[in-house]
Amino acid sequence: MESSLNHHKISILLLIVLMTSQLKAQDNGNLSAVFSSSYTYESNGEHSKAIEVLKKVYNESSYEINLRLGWLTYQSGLFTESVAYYNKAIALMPLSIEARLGYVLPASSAGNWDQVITRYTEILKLDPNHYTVNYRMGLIYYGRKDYQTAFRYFEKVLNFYPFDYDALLMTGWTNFQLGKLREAKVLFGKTLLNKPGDKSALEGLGLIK
Amino acid sequence: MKKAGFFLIQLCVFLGVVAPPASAGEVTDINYETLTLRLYYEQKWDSLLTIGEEAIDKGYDYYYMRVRVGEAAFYKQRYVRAVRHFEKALQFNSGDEYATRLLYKSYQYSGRADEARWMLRKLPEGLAADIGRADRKPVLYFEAGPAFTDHVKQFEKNRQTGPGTYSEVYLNLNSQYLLAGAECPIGYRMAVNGAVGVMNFHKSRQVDIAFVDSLAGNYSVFQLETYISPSFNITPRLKISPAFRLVNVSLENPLKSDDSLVQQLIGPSGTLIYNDYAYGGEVSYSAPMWAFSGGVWSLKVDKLDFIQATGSLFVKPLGNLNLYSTTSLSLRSNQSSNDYIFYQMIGGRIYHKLWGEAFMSLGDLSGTAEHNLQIIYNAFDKVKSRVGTRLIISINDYLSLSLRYQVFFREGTELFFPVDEPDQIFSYNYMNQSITGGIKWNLH
Repeated sequence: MESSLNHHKISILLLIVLMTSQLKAQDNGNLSAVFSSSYTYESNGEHSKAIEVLKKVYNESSYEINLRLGWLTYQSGLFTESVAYYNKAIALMPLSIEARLGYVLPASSAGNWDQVITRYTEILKLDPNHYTVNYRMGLIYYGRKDYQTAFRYFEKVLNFYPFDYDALLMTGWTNFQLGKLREAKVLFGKTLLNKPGDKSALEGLGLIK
Repeated sequence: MKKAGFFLIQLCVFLGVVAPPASAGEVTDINYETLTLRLYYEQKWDSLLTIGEEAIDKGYDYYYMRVRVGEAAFYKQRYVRAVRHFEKALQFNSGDEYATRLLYKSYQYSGRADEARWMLRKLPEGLAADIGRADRKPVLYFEAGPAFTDHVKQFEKNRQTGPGTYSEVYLNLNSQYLLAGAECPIGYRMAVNGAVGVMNFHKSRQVDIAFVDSLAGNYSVFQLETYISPSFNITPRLKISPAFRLVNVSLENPLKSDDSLVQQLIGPSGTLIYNDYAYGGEVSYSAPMWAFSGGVWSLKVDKLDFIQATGSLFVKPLGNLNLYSTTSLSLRSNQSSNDYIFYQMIGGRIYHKLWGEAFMSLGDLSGTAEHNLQIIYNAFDKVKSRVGTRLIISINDYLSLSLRYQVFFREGTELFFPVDEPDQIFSYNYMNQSITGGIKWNLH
């Protein structure tokens, strides 16, 4: 009697496991189809439909859906919504660099550069040598005419990528703004080696002579 | 290529910044971004202000939205609202020069110059020097004008005609006034206001001693005034301004008599020089729509001591200088009496660059001061009331011209000894009218 009861229990448990895994596979199948159609809509420029299909299966705890909605709403110019989705994605995956890189898209489009700096600073804590982030931080501070801070970021990029066109050019201009003309001249010269005839580098050299 | 645009282009390319497509409107009922951007380009400031603030209330709160809505408020001259939006915009993008400039102008145009200067303290040196160039330079001001009176005429009308033994009067004739000063900023929190004034009062003294002598003579009372008032901003809104004024008075007794007894009565001939002075200060607090100041001063005027306390409320009901008013109540106190003086001014923009003010005061102004000792009334005669008007033409942000007309209703006195009666002081009314032209120039 007792062994027959145990058999029943095991059978029910197996049934539940089987059903759950089947449902999950079905869910994943559905989600995969939803993502697929959202990509199709996006590639056709129908961003609102791409958003709509994802919103029908929206799950607040899904990092992937929040990240994708962040991107699509940004593409639609809905910066406030986009920021909210990216924030949720970051909350779900606190070490995510990609979500932070996504976040800066709507934030910068909305002009919220202080928020961009905050996110970039977080990324640099996770990955201090991140090429893109260091370079962009340099650009932000260059735009704010804080050339000393800009130099710090550009110099780092240049140390890791000594023959990178962007790093050479912007470090050259930053040196020029800081009055370090000899260094600027060398860097503009190197930029021209990377990209002969580059207008910006030639302009810089022209201003130094 | 070194121009500011360069980095923005690069940044936008890197970030892949996209313009919102028209179809975005399908996603939400109202696409506030698209709508406010369109209203901004079309310069529909009224609609932008309404829709933009609605969007912000619904959470569409970001730098560009705040700048657009702030700019709409700015062009509608709603500077208090503009300040609110630009301040928020700068929380999103603290290094932004565009919003900073507009915030600075909004402070300036809403009469919040102290807050504008305070803001400059926090900016990078280069930007602060560029935006607030004028805030680091002195403001020079100059005022001059004549005053006319009907004192002699009114005295002749009202003088004592009965039998008397002695009569003495001091009559005002015309006078001239000149003032030159400068407000010099020291950093962004301090300033010193200093001025020198010259006044020349033409007067007449008449003494009649029955059956003995009748004397009359014109003379001048020359006043050299110096004024200094440093001011310190403790916070952007709270300011302390001590003030000191010294008035050097020089006058001549125009009457001379060969009779020693008469000379004794009319006083010694020659020049009399003495100093009047006043010191004290005020504390002022300014809010976006109003400012309150309270001050206490001690005055030594014509050998009399006075204490004055004044409370003033300056109101800008529209949050700009298109309409404003000042209401003051002063208490003048000396050993023998306490008197109150009420002052009311209303002003506003009359036309494009023309402002007008009308003002009046009730209560004896003699022995009192106005505008933190910038004006001191040290004449002997009572000033019972005063009405006036002022026109100000703002040529640009740095230069303004003004023309002020005032009528003082004063009380003249005659010392008269009726026959067989004790001496009495008889009074009568007369008017003084003054016209003052001024120029104010902020070096930049």
